Amino acid sequence: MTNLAKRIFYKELVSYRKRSSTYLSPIVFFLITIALYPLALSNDPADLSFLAPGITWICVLLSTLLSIQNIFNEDFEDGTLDIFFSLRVSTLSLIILKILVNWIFSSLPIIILSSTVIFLLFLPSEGLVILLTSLFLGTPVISLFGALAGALSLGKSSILGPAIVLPLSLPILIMGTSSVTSFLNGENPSFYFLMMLAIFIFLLPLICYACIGALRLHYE
Amino acid sequence: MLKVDNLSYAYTDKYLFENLNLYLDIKTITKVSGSNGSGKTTFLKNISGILQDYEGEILFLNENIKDIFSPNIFYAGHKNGFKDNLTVEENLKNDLRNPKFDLDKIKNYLSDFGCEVSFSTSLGNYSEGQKKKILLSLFACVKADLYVLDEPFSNLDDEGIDCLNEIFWQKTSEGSSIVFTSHENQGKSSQEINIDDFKND
Repeated sequence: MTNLAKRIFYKELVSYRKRSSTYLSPIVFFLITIALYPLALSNDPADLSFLAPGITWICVLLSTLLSIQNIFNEDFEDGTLDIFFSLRVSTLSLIILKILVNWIFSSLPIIILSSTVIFLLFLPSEGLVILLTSLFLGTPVISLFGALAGALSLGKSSILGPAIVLPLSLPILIMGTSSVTSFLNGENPSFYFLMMLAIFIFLLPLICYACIGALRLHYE
Repeated sequence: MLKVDNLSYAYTDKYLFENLNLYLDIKTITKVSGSNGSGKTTFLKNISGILQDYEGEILFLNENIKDIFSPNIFYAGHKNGFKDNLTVEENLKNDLRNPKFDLDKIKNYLSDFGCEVSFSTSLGNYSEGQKKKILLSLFACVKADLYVLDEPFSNLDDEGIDCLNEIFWQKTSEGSSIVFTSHENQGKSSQEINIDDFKND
Protein backbone atom coordinates (compact mmCIF):
# COMPACT_ATOMS: atom_id res chain seq x y z
CA MET A 1 0.00 0.00 0.00
CA THR A 2 2.78 2.45 0.89
CA ASN A 3 4.45 1.47 -2.36
CA LEU A 4 1.30 2.36 -4.27
CA ALA A 5 1.08 5.68 -2.41
CA LYS A 6 4.68 6.43 -3.34
CA ARG A 7 3.91 5.74 -6.99
CA ILE A 8 0.83 7.97 -6.92
CA PHE A 9 2.89 10.73 -5.30
CA TYR A 10 5.59 10.40 -7.94
CA LYS A 11 3.04 10.36 -10.77
CA GLU A 12 1.42 13.50 -9.39
CA LEU A 13 4.80 15.24 -9.23
CA VAL A 14 5.61 14.27 -12.82
CA SER A 15 2.28 15.38 -14.20
CA TYR A 16 2.33 18.70 -12.30
CA ARG A 17 5.83 19.39 -13.55
CA LYS A 18 4.62 18.90 -17.12
CA ARG A 19 1.50 20.98 -16.64
CA SER A 20 3.27 24.29 -16.24
CA SER A 21 0.07 26.35 -16.49
CA THR A 22 -1.12 25.07 -13.11
CA TYR A 23 1.83 26.44 -11.21
CA LEU A 24 3.10 29.22 -13.49
CA SER A 25 -0.13 31.14 -13.93
CA PRO A 26 -0.70 31.65 -10.17
CA ILE A 27 2.91 32.81 -9.79
CA VAL A 28 2.63 35.29 -12.67
CA PHE A 29 -0.78 36.45 -11.48
CA PHE A 30 0.59 37.00 -7.97
CA LEU A 31 3.61 38.98 -9.13
CA ILE A 32 1.55 41.17 -11.47
CA THR A 33 -1.14 42.03 -8.94
CA ILE A 34 1.32 42.69 -6.13
CA ALA A 35 3.34 44.98 -8.43
CA LEU A 36 0.24 46.93 -9.50
CA TYR A 37 -0.77 48.05 -6.02
CA PRO A 38 2.10 50.53 -5.50
CA LEU A 39 1.41 51.96 -8.97
CA ALA A 40 -2.30 52.38 -8.45
CA LEU A 41 -2.65 53.20 -4.75
CA SER A 42 0.18 55.38 -3.61
CA ASN A 43 3.93 55.47 -3.60
CA ASP A 44 4.10 56.59 -0.02
CA PRO A 45 5.94 53.89 1.98
CA ALA A 46 3.90 54.65 5.07
CA ASP A 47 0.57 54.01 3.31
CA LEU A 48 1.82 50.90 1.58
CA SER A 49 3.40 49.28 4.61
CA PHE A 50 0.10 49.78 6.45
CA LEU A 51 -1.79 47.99 3.66
CA ALA A 52 0.89 45.39 2.88
CA PRO A 53 -0.39 42.46 5.01
CA GLY A 54 -3.92 42.74 3.60
CA ILE A 55 -2.80 43.16 0.00
CA THR A 56 -0.43 40.20 0.21
CA TRP A 57 -3.06 37.94 1.70
CA ILE A 58 -5.69 38.91 -0.88
CA CYS A 59 -3.24 38.27 -3.72
CA VAL A 60 -2.23 34.89 -2.28
CA LEU A 61 -5.86 33.87 -1.87
CA LEU A 62 -6.83 34.90 -5.40
CA SER A 63 -3.82 33.33 -7.07
CA THR A 64 -4.21 29.98 -5.31
CA LEU A 65 -7.82 29.96 -6.53
CA LEU A 66 -6.53 29.81 -10.10
CA SER A 67 -5.12 26.32 -9.80
CA ILE A 68 -6.85 24.75 -6.88
CA GLN A 69 -10.23 23.76 -8.28
CA ASN A 70 -8.78 21.48 -10.95
CA ILE A 71 -7.36 19.17 -8.30
CA PHE A 72 -9.50 16.16 -9.29
CA ASN A 73 -10.92 17.27 -12.61
CA GLU A 74 -8.21 16.02 -14.95
CA ASP A 75 -8.08 12.58 -13.32
CA PHE A 76 -11.86 12.38 -13.64
CA GLU A 77 -11.85 13.36 -17.32
CA ASP A 78 -9.08 11.00 -18.45
CA GLY A 79 -10.23 7.96 -16.51
CA THR A 80 -7.45 7.88 -13.91
CA LEU A 81 -10.00 8.01 -11.08
CA ASP A 82 -11.64 4.86 -12.48
CA ILE A 83 -8.28 3.12 -12.31
CA PHE A 84 -7.71 4.32 -8.73
CA PHE A 85 -11.05 2.84 -7.73
CA SER A 86 -10.50 -0.41 -9.63
CA LEU A 87 -7.17 -0.84 -7.82
CA ARG A 88 -8.86 -0.08 -4.50
CA VAL A 89 -6.49 2.76 -3.74
CA SER A 90 -7.56 4.12 -0.38
CA THR A 91 -9.55 7.24 -1.27
CA LEU A 92 -8.43 8.94 1.94
CA SER A 93 -4.73 8.63 1.20
CA LEU A 94 -5.36 9.58 -2.42
CA ILE A 95 -7.06 12.81 -1.36
CA ILE A 96 -4.34 13.67 1.19
CA LEU A 97 -1.63 13.06 -1.43
CA LYS A 98 -3.43 15.18 -4.00
CA ILE A 99 -3.90 18.06 -1.56
CA LEU A 100 -0.24 17.85 -0.53
CA VAL A 101 1.09 17.91 -4.10
CA ASN A 102 -1.34 20.66 -5.05
CA TRP A 103 -0.14 22.73 -2.08
CA ILE A 104 3.51 22.17 -3.00
CA PHE A 105 2.92 23.38 -6.55
CA SER A 106 0.32 26.09 -6.13
CA SER A 107 0.91 27.61 -2.69
CA LEU A 108 4.55 27.03 -1.80
CA PRO A 109 6.05 29.08 -4.69
CA ILE A 110 3.69 31.95 -3.86
CA ILE A 111 4.61 31.84 -0.17
CA ILE A 112 8.29 32.07 -1.10
CA LEU A 113 7.62 34.86 -3.60
CA SER A 114 5.60 36.81 -1.08
CA SER A 115 8.84 37.72 0.67
CA THR A 116 9.26 40.24 -2.17
CA VAL A 117 6.61 42.41 -0.51
CA ILE A 118 9.25 43.90 1.77
CA PHE A 119 10.56 45.63 -1.38
CA LEU A 120 7.33 46.16 -3.30
CA LEU A 121 5.00 47.17 -0.50
CA PHE A 122 7.53 48.34 2.10
CA LEU A 123 6.45 45.77 4.64
CA PRO A 124 8.77 46.28 7.65
CA SER A 125 11.32 43.50 7.42
CA GLU A 126 10.68 42.30 10.99
CA GLY A 127 7.09 41.53 9.91
CA LEU A 128 8.21 39.21 7.15
CA VAL A 129 8.66 36.15 9.38
CA ILE A 130 5.18 36.67 10.80
CA LEU A 131 3.69 37.08 7.30
CA LEU A 132 5.39 33.90 6.07
CA THR A 133 4.31 31.97 9.16
CA SER A 134 0.72 33.09 8.69
CA LEU A 135 0.85 32.00 5.03
CA PHE A 136 2.37 28.63 5.96
CA LEU A 137 -0.46 28.02 8.41
CA GLY A 138 -3.26 29.52 6.34
CA THR A 139 -2.70 28.24 2.81
CA PRO A 140 -3.08 24.52 3.72
CA VAL A 141 -6.60 25.34 4.94
CA ILE A 142 -7.35 27.08 1.64
CA SER A 143 -6.04 23.97 -0.15
CA LEU A 144 -8.46 21.84 1.88
CA PHE A 145 -11.38 24.03 0.81
CA GLY A 146 -10.08 23.89 -2.75
CA ALA A 147 -10.07 20.09 -2.69
CA LEU A 148 -13.64 20.05 -1.41
CA ALA A 149 -14.70 22.52 -4.10
CA GLY A 150 -12.85 20.49 -6.74
CA ALA A 151 -14.53 17.26 -5.66
CA LEU A 152 -17.97 18.87 -5.58
CA SER A 153 -17.64 20.62 -8.93
CA LEU A 154 -16.25 17.66 -10.93
CA GLY A 155 -17.31 18.01 -14.55
CA LYS A 156 -19.30 21.15 -13.79
CA SER A 157 -18.81 24.83 -14.52
CA SER A 158 -15.61 26.37 -13.25
CA ILE A 159 -17.36 29.21 -11.37
CA LEU A 160 -18.62 26.76 -8.75
CA GLY A 161 -15.12 26.19 -7.34
CA PRO A 162 -14.31 29.80 -6.37
CA ALA A 163 -17.90 30.29 -5.22
CA ILE A 164 -17.32 27.54 -2.65
CA VAL A 165 -13.73 28.39 -1.69
CA LEU A 166 -13.92 32.18 -1.31
CA PRO A 167 -16.59 32.48 1.39
CA LEU A 168 -15.09 29.57 3.35
CA SER A 169 -11.63 31.15 3.27
CA LEU A 170 -12.71 34.50 4.72
CA PRO A 171 -11.88 33.63 8.37
CA ILE A 172 -8.39 32.55 7.28
CA LEU A 173 -7.95 35.81 5.36
CA ILE A 174 -9.01 37.83 8.39
CA MET A 175 -6.78 35.91 10.80
CA GLY A 176 -3.82 35.98 8.43
CA THR A 177 -3.89 39.73 7.98
CA SER A 178 -4.71 40.38 11.64
CA SER A 179 -1.70 38.36 12.78
CA VAL A 180 0.69 40.56 10.80
CA THR A 181 -0.98 43.89 11.64
CA SER A 182 -1.21 43.03 15.32
CA PHE A 183 2.49 42.12 15.34
CA LEU A 184 3.36 45.43 13.64
CA ASN A 185 1.28 47.21 16.30
CA GLY A 186 3.38 45.58 18.96
CA GLU A 187 0.97 42.81 20.00
CA ASN A 188 1.59 39.10 20.23
CA PRO A 189 0.28 37.31 17.07
CA SER A 190 0.42 33.78 18.51
CA PHE A 191 -3.35 33.72 19.12
CA TYR A 192 -3.99 33.93 15.39
CA PHE A 193 -1.36 31.30 14.61
CA LEU A 194 -2.81 28.86 17.11
CA MET A 195 -6.29 29.53 15.77
CA MET A 196 -5.22 28.81 12.18
CA LEU A 197 -3.38 25.67 13.24
CA ALA A 198 -6.43 24.53 15.20
CA ILE A 199 -8.69 25.17 12.18
CA PHE A 200 -6.37 23.09 10.00
CA ILE A 201 -6.21 20.18 12.44
CA PHE A 202 -9.97 20.30 12.95
CA LEU A 203 -10.81 20.51 9.24
CA LEU A 204 -8.30 17.98 7.88
CA PRO A 205 -10.30 14.83 8.73
CA LEU A 206 -13.67 16.50 8.16
CA ILE A 207 -12.84 17.81 4.69
CA CYS A 208 -11.13 14.57 3.65
CA TYR A 209 -14.25 12.61 4.49
CA ALA A 210 -16.42 15.21 2.77
CA CYS A 211 -14.21 14.85 -0.33
CA ILE A 212 -14.60 11.06 -0.27
CA GLY A 213 -18.36 11.54 -0.19
CA ALA A 214 -18.27 14.11 -2.98
CA LEU A 215 -16.10 11.93 -5.21
CA ARG A 216 -18.29 8.90 -4.54
CA LEU A 217 -21.30 10.92 -5.72
CA HIS A 218 -19.85 10.69 -9.21
CA TYR A 219 -19.54 6.93 -8.87
CA GLU A 220 -23.15 6.21 -8.04
CA MET B 1 -13.67 -17.23 -11.16
CA LEU B 2 -16.36 -14.57 -11.38
CA LYS B 3 -19.96 -15.16 -10.44
CA VAL B 4 -22.59 -12.51 -11.06
CA ASP B 5 -25.84 -13.19 -9.27
CA ASN B 6 -29.07 -11.29 -9.99
CA LEU B 7 -27.24 -8.09 -10.79
CA SER B 8 -29.40 -5.02 -11.36
CA TYR B 9 -28.21 -1.48 -11.81
CA ALA B 10 -30.40 1.59 -11.76
CA TYR B 11 -29.28 4.95 -13.06
CA THR B 12 -31.57 7.76 -11.86
CA ASP B 13 -34.58 5.52 -11.18
CA LYS B 14 -34.36 3.66 -14.48
CA TYR B 15 -32.91 0.17 -14.54
CA LEU B 16 -30.17 -0.30 -17.13
CA PHE B 17 -30.33 -4.05 -16.68
CA GLU B 18 -32.08 -6.35 -14.25
CA ASN B 19 -31.40 -9.81 -12.81
CA LEU B 20 -28.28 -10.42 -14.81
CA ASN B 21 -26.60 -13.76 -14.11
CA LEU B 22 -23.23 -14.76 -15.41
CA TYR B 23 -20.64 -17.34 -14.51
CA LEU B 24 -17.10 -16.95 -15.71
CA ASP B 25 -14.74 -19.89 -15.48
CA ILE B 26 -10.99 -19.55 -15.70
CA LYS B 27 -9.52 -19.40 -19.20
CA THR B 28 -12.64 -17.94 -20.76
CA ILE B 29 -13.15 -14.95 -22.96
CA THR B 30 -16.53 -13.30 -22.50
CA LYS B 31 -17.92 -10.80 -24.90
CA VAL B 32 -20.50 -8.33 -23.62
CA SER B 33 -22.62 -6.94 -26.40
CA GLY B 34 -25.58 -4.62 -26.50
CA SER B 35 -26.87 -1.50 -28.15
CA ASN B 36 -25.42 1.95 -27.42
CA GLY B 37 -26.24 3.13 -23.95
CA SER B 38 -27.43 -0.30 -22.88
CA GLY B 39 -25.07 -0.38 -19.89
CA LYS B 40 -22.08 -2.35 -21.13
CA THR B 41 -19.58 0.04 -19.57
CA THR B 42 -21.63 0.17 -16.36
CA PHE B 43 -21.61 -3.62 -16.20
CA LEU B 44 -17.80 -3.66 -16.59
CA LYS B 45 -17.46 -1.03 -13.87
CA ASN B 46 -19.68 -3.18 -11.63
CA ILE B 47 -17.62 -6.32 -12.02
CA SER B 48 -14.33 -4.49 -11.54
CA GLY B 49 -15.63 -2.89 -8.35
CA ILE B 50 -15.60 0.74 -9.50
CA LEU B 51 -19.36 1.22 -9.24
CA GLN B 52 -20.53 -0.53 -6.11
CA ASP B 53 -24.09 0.68 -5.69
CA TYR B 54 -25.64 -2.22 -7.56
CA GLU B 55 -28.26 -4.69 -6.43
CA GLY B 56 -27.38 -8.37 -6.39
CA GLU B 57 -24.05 -10.01 -5.73
CA ILE B 58 -20.72 -10.24 -7.52
CA LEU B 59 -18.28 -12.88 -6.33
CA PHE B 60 -14.67 -12.84 -7.48
CA LEU B 61 -12.78 -16.01 -6.52
CA ASN B 62 -15.66 -16.83 -4.12
CA GLU B 63 -15.38 -13.52 -2.29
CA ASN B 64 -17.67 -10.53 -2.52
CA ILE B 65 -16.00 -8.02 -4.81
CA LYS B 66 -16.80 -5.19 -2.40
CA ASP B 67 -14.83 -6.86 0.40
CA ILE B 68 -11.67 -7.73 -1.49
CA PHE B 69 -8.79 -5.54 -0.41
CA SER B 70 -6.92 -5.66 -3.67
CA PRO B 71 -8.45 -7.84 -6.39
CA ASN B 72 -6.09 -8.82 -9.18
CA ILE B 73 -8.24 -7.26 -11.89
CA PHE B 74 -6.90 -5.20 -14.76
CA TYR B 75 -9.39 -2.56 -15.86
CA ALA B 76 -9.06 -0.56 -19.07
CA GLY B 77 -11.99 1.73 -19.75
CA HIS B 78 -12.67 3.67 -22.90
CA LYS B 79 -11.10 6.62 -21.13
CA ASN B 80 -7.60 5.21 -21.14
CA GLY B 81 -6.23 6.81 -17.95
CA PHE B 82 -3.27 8.30 -19.81
CA LYS B 83 -2.30 11.94 -19.65
CA ASP B 84 -1.76 13.68 -22.97
CA ASN B 85 0.90 16.07 -21.67
CA LEU B 86 3.18 13.26 -20.44
CA THR B 87 5.43 11.31 -22.78
CA VAL B 88 4.58 7.75 -23.76
CA GLU B 89 7.29 6.41 -21.44
CA GLU B 90 6.18 8.53 -18.46
CA ASN B 91 2.61 7.38 -18.96
CA LEU B 92 3.56 3.71 -19.11
CA LYS B 93 6.15 3.88 -16.33
CA ASN B 94 3.79 5.63 -13.91
CA ASP B 95 0.72 3.61 -14.74
CA LEU B 96 -0.50 2.19 -11.45
CA ARG B 97 -1.86 -0.97 -13.07
CA ASN B 98 1.64 -1.93 -14.13
CA PRO B 99 3.74 -2.93 -11.13
CA LYS B 100 6.86 -3.82 -13.12
CA PHE B 101 7.73 -1.55 -16.00
CA ASP B 102 9.55 -3.49 -18.71
CA LEU B 103 10.38 -1.26 -21.66
CA ASP B 104 11.59 -4.05 -23.97
CA LYS B 105 8.47 -6.12 -23.45
CA ILE B 106 6.21 -3.16 -24.25
CA LYS B 107 8.31 -2.35 -27.31
CA ASN B 108 7.89 -5.93 -28.55
CA TYR B 109 4.13 -5.81 -28.18
CA LEU B 110 3.98 -2.41 -29.86
CA SER B 111 5.88 -3.71 -32.86
CA ASP B 112 3.54 -6.74 -32.95
CA PHE B 113 0.69 -4.24 -33.20
CA GLY B 114 2.53 -2.52 -36.03
CA CYS B 115 2.75 0.68 -34.06
CA GLU B 116 5.83 2.87 -34.31
CA VAL B 117 6.00 5.31 -31.40
CA SER B 118 8.76 7.39 -29.93
CA PHE B 119 8.80 6.92 -26.18
CA SER B 120 9.96 10.47 -25.54
CA THR B 121 7.10 12.15 -27.44
CA SER B 122 4.03 13.50 -25.68
CA LEU B 123 1.15 11.08 -25.86
CA GLY B 124 -1.13 13.87 -27.10
CA ASN B 125 0.64 13.80 -30.47
CA TYR B 126 -0.64 10.33 -31.28
CA SER B 127 -3.93 9.31 -32.81
CA GLU B 128 -6.68 7.47 -30.93
CA GLY B 129 -5.74 4.22 -32.67
CA GLN B 130 -2.11 4.54 -31.62
CA LYS B 131 -3.11 5.38 -28.04
CA LYS B 132 -5.29 2.28 -28.06
CA LYS B 133 -2.35 0.19 -29.19
CA ILE B 134 -0.18 1.67 -26.43
CA LEU B 135 -2.88 0.83 -23.88
CA LEU B 136 -3.26 -2.70 -25.25
CA SER B 137 0.52 -3.24 -25.11
CA LEU B 138 0.32 -2.30 -21.45
CA PHE B 139 -2.54 -4.78 -21.03
CA ALA B 140 -0.40 -7.46 -22.68
CA CYS B 141 2.45 -6.84 -20.21
CA VAL B 142 0.43 -6.90 -17.00
CA LYS B 143 -0.40 -10.19 -15.29
CA ALA B 144 -3.84 -10.35 -13.71
CA ASP B 145 -6.49 -12.94 -12.95
CA LEU B 146 -9.21 -11.08 -14.76
CA TYR B 147 -8.94 -8.50 -17.50
CA VAL B 148 -11.83 -6.12 -17.99
CA LEU B 149 -11.58 -4.23 -21.26
CA ASP B 150 -14.02 -1.69 -22.60
CA GLU B 151 -14.20 -1.58 -26.40
CA PRO B 152 -10.69 -2.93 -26.99
CA PHE B 153 -11.36 -3.40 -30.72
CA SER B 154 -12.57 0.09 -31.50
CA ASN B 155 -10.14 2.32 -33.43
CA LEU B 156 -7.97 -0.69 -34.27
CA ASP B 157 -6.82 -1.57 -37.79
CA ASP B 158 -6.92 -5.15 -39.13
CA GLU B 159 -3.35 -5.86 -38.03
CA GLY B 160 -4.20 -4.68 -34.51
CA ILE B 161 -7.34 -6.83 -34.36
CA ASP B 162 -5.43 -9.98 -35.33
CA CYS B 163 -2.71 -9.18 -32.83
CA LEU B 164 -5.21 -8.55 -30.03
CA ASN B 165 -6.99 -11.85 -30.72
CA GLU B 166 -3.60 -13.53 -30.48
CA ILE B 167 -2.89 -11.84 -27.11
CA PHE B 168 -6.34 -12.87 -25.84
CA TRP B 169 -5.57 -16.47 -26.67
CA GLN B 170 -2.16 -16.22 -25.00
CA LYS B 171 -3.65 -14.68 -21.82
CA THR B 172 -6.29 -17.40 -21.48
CA SER B 173 -3.73 -20.13 -22.00
CA GLU B 174 -1.86 -18.64 -19.03
CA GLY B 175 -5.01 -19.14 -16.93
CA SER B 176 -6.54 -15.66 -16.95
CA SER B 177 -10.03 -14.67 -18.03
CA ILE B 178 -11.08 -11.75 -20.14
CA VAL B 179 -14.32 -9.78 -20.27
CA PHE B 180 -14.65 -7.25 -23.04
CA THR B 181 -17.35 -5.20 -24.70
CA SER B 182 -17.84 -4.76 -28.39
CA HIS B 183 -20.77 -3.78 -30.51
CA GLU B 184 -19.24 -5.01 -33.69
CA ASN B 185 -18.56 -8.59 -34.65
CA GLN B 186 -14.98 -8.38 -33.62
CA GLY B 187 -13.06 -10.53 -31.23
CA LYS B 188 -13.22 -14.26 -30.79
CA SER B 189 -14.91 -15.25 -27.55
CA SER B 190 -15.91 -18.43 -25.81
CA GLN B 191 -19.17 -17.02 -24.47
CA GLU B 192 -21.28 -13.98 -25.16
CA ILE B 193 -23.92 -12.12 -23.22
CA ASN B 194 -26.16 -9.42 -24.57
CA ILE B 195 -27.07 -6.74 -22.05
CA ASP B 196 -30.23 -5.96 -24.03
CA ASP B 197 -31.61 -9.38 -22.95
CA PHE B 198 -31.72 -8.17 -19.35
CA LYS B 199 -33.80 -5.10 -19.99
CA ASN B 200 -37.22 -5.19 -18.46
CA ASP B 201 -39.35 -2.97 -20.62
